[in-house]
Formats: sequence, C-alpha cells, structure tokens
Amino acid sequence: MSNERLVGGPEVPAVSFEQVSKHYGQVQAVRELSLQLPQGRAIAFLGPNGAGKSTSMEILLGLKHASSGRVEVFGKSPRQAMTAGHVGAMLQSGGLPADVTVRELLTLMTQLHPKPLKVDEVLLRANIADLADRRAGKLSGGQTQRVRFAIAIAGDSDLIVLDEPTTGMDVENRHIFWNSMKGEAERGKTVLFATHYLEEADQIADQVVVINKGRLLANGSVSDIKAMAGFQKIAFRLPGVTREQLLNLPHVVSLEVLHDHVQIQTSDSDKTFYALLDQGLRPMEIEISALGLEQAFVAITERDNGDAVETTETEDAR
Amino acid sequence: MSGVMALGRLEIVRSLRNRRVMFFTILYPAMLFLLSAGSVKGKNVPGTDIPYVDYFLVAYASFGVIAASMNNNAMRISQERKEGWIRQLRLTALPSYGYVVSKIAASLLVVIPAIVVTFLLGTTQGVKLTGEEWVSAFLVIWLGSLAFTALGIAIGYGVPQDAVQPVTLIIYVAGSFLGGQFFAVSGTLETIGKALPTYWVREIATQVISGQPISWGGVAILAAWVVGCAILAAVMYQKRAED
Repeated sequence: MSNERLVGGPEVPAVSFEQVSKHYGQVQAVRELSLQLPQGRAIAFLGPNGAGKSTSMEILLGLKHASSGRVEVFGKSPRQAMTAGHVGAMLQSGGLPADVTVRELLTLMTQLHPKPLKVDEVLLRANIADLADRRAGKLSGGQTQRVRFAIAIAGDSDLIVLDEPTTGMDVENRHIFWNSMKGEAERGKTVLFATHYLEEADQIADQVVVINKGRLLANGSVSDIKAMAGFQKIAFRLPGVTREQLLNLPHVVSLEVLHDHVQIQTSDSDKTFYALLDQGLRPMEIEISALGLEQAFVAITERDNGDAVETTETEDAR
Repeated sequence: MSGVMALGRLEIVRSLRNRRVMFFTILYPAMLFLLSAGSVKGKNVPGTDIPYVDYFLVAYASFGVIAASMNNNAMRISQERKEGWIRQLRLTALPSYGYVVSKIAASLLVVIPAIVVTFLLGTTQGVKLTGEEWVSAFLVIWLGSLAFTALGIAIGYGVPQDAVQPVTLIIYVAGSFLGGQFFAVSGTLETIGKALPTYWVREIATQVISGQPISWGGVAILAAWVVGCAILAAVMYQKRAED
C-alpha cells in the first residue's frame, strides 16, 4: 500500500458515519450508525438481507440523504467527494444502455471523471479486453457484472464501492472477479464491498463490518469477528458413539453425530474436550478450530436477533 | 462541461443507431409527405392562397420533429430510469443537471435530419421558397422542438414506466392531429389545436414561408409550453432524485 495515494493524510477516514439514521415512513432502515473506515483497506460489509447495507451505501454515495446524522467521505460531503472524483461505484442494479459498445461506455465513464484511467487500462484491470467491441445488450450476466466493475474503477477513484458485485456469477467468474478486486486494493484503493458470500469477505477483506437491523454489530478483522462469535468447533471420529453419550458435556452449544463422526460447537473447547476424555472416550482424528466466518456471522446475527426479540418483549410488557 | 458534452455525443450516436427512432423521425414523415403532396398537386389550402404542398412540407417536417424530440426522450428516459442508468450517471462527477442538458443538446441535433430531409423532398415536389424562407422555417421548427423535448422529459420522469409508451403515443397522435400535421384543421378542432405547441410550430412556420404576419400570440403560447414543460420536467426530476 502506498501512502502517497492517501487523500488528505492517513488520519482522514475514507468513510465516516456519525449517528446516521434513515427511515422510510415507519421503517427504520439505518439506526444511529457510527462507523469510521480507514483508507487503503479492503472492507467487507456484511449483514443479512434488509440489514441496511444497500441503504448505507446509497447514503455514502450521495444517492440518498440520511434522515439524521452526518456522513463524510474523505472529509467531504458524499456529493462533493463524488464530484472530486474520489469515489467509483457499482450498485446492484445499474443497467447499461443496450445499444452502445463496452468501449464507448467506458470512454464515456472516463470522460465523466476528473482524473480517469486510460480506457485500455480499465479493460485490462477488469479483465474484459475481449468484450470491448461488444454491445452492452449482448453481454451475459457475469460479463455485465465485470463491465459494471470496470465502470466503478474507470475514474481511478480512491474509494471503490461495490454492492454485492458477484451475485449471480459462477464460481470461475467469481474468482476472476476477486482477483480484480484484490488488484485494486493492492494499488492502495479503499475497496468497500457488500456481499452475501462470506468466502468473498474471508478471501479479500482486511476488515469486516457487520450490520444487522440497521445497527452496527461488529467491526474488526476477520479473526476478530470469528473470535466475537466466541465459539469453537470440535470435530472427531469415534466408532460406536451415540448422541446420548455426549449430551452431558459442558459448554456445548450444538451437537451433530453422523455415523462415527461428531461435530460439536462449544463456548469453551478446552473444558468440553477434557470432559470428553474424563468420560473415558478416546476419539480419533481430532480437530479443534475456530468457527468459519460464515458460522461466526450466523452466530452473532442470531444472537443479536434473539436480544432484539427480548427487548421488544420488555417494551411490550411496559 | 466536458462531461456533459461527452454524454451528449453518446446520446446522438445512440439515437442515430436506433432504427425505430430513425423510422419515426425521418422515414415515416417523409413517406407521408410524399403521399400527401402527390394528392394535392396545384391545390391551395381551402380559403387561403397557400399551396397545399407548402403546408404539408412544414406539417410533416414538424411531425418528424415531434417523434425525434418528444417520443424519443420520453421513452428513453423512462427506460433509463428503470434500468438504473441514471443512478449510475449520478455516481460520476457529472453535474446533476448534466443528464437532462445532454438530452436537450442531443435532441437539438437529432431533429435536424427530420427537417432537412423533408425540405429536400419538398424541392422535388414543387415547393419554391426563397433562401430566407427556407432558413426561417427551419429555425421555427428547430427551436419549436424544444417544447416537445421538454414535454418528453417531463413524461419520461413523471409517468409510471409501464404507461409511458401509451401516454406518449396518445399525445403524439392526438397532438399531431389537432395541430394540423395530417391535414388543415378548422372549426372546433382548430380551436382546441390553438392551445397546443404542435399547432403553433406548424402555423408559425407556415406563416414565415407564405409571407403572412407572424402571430405573436402563438409565439407566446409556444414559449409558454417550453417554459411550462421545462418547469414540469425540473419538478419531476427533483421528485425522482432518490429513485
């Protein structure tokens, strides 16, 4: 990462949300979200459907106005940052005019930014040189996504915002796409992307932001998020084991027994495992590991949803 | 400003590439002009000394202009709103007025062939005008197209996506009918027509090529349509800003 790319010094965050809320009538899409995203990182934006990811992104892109709170992008208002060429973006829906070629489209996009890349460079970085002379209307879904990514990077912007960029792509295209994303991050850009594919976050992100029901739930490195879930996984093989034998182990959160194979989620892997040995059981092929990001994500959002249910109940009781 | 020009250039390329647009802008009016002109050779518009061929020249040139400016803009804007293209443009340094300005600029260029082709055909059908008359008629129709462009923008933004096509077609056909684009209107039809920009673009252009005094009241009505539709378009644009 080269520091010379940093806008207004490293202390200026790429994105800053202060107590940002957005509601549509009765529906609260974003609730008092406060968040600072540093420059020069690849940041994954995670959350279940309807968590407020897209709305937050639209606010920081200046497409929507926050109902309250303050949003800054490189210390400027979202619109100012956009006009200054600091931001390039790819939204979930962003149709391309069917009757122009990819090259014409990208030429236009470079002309709409103050300090753009050369069109050939854009084609190269987005891995779409072979599509340059195709009409946009003739592209497949995955190809369209790659062209839309090219549009997002055409301005050589400092912050690149991608809303679920690989949705609908096949595995191969997704991996090609990830390389392009990593490439931009390695050039020192701040890459902020919302995704449903936790593997994507695991592969690319230096930092993960989890939101749920419009609120910030977690913000840290991938391993921070995994640790936050607080659970570990114990897996082993034990011929002839029954579910009943394992039910009384301490700290077990969930238990799966399939033939001879056992998987335990636990909040304290040491104590659970010692208890297992104390019972006189001698498992084989033992693996003790942290949860995957996916399981961690599910664990912390579920826990949050559980809390929220309790809160609503107390409110109802009043 | 360079961004607005770049977008305008692409808009023009896209219109010229679009067969439907070219058909309704050039081919269709030209065909109708030739058919109509052939059937009225040597006749004057009833109650006047204006050759019917001259009348149709202006009528069909303006008919093509309406398609090029109103229909084209209404349908394209509505389509581009739905597709998210307008949002994508808002994620660039293009100023917020840039999209609409580029549409207006492109329309002013795309309507030119509609006028010029009909005028050229006119010379083969016995229309005889002075250089000054050709230029004045061109200018009236050309500037008059602004009213239809503004109306097209307002429809594109204001009318729900699935209704844009029928609404545009109804306004296109009814407006041209009442405006005298198909034949000279009289009586009640003309009374209604006199409130419409289709009528006044054609009427004023006819006046300048037949040596009649210009109806300044008509100019005012035309100007009111331009301003009114522009305001309507601006309001609709604001209203749709968060789409």
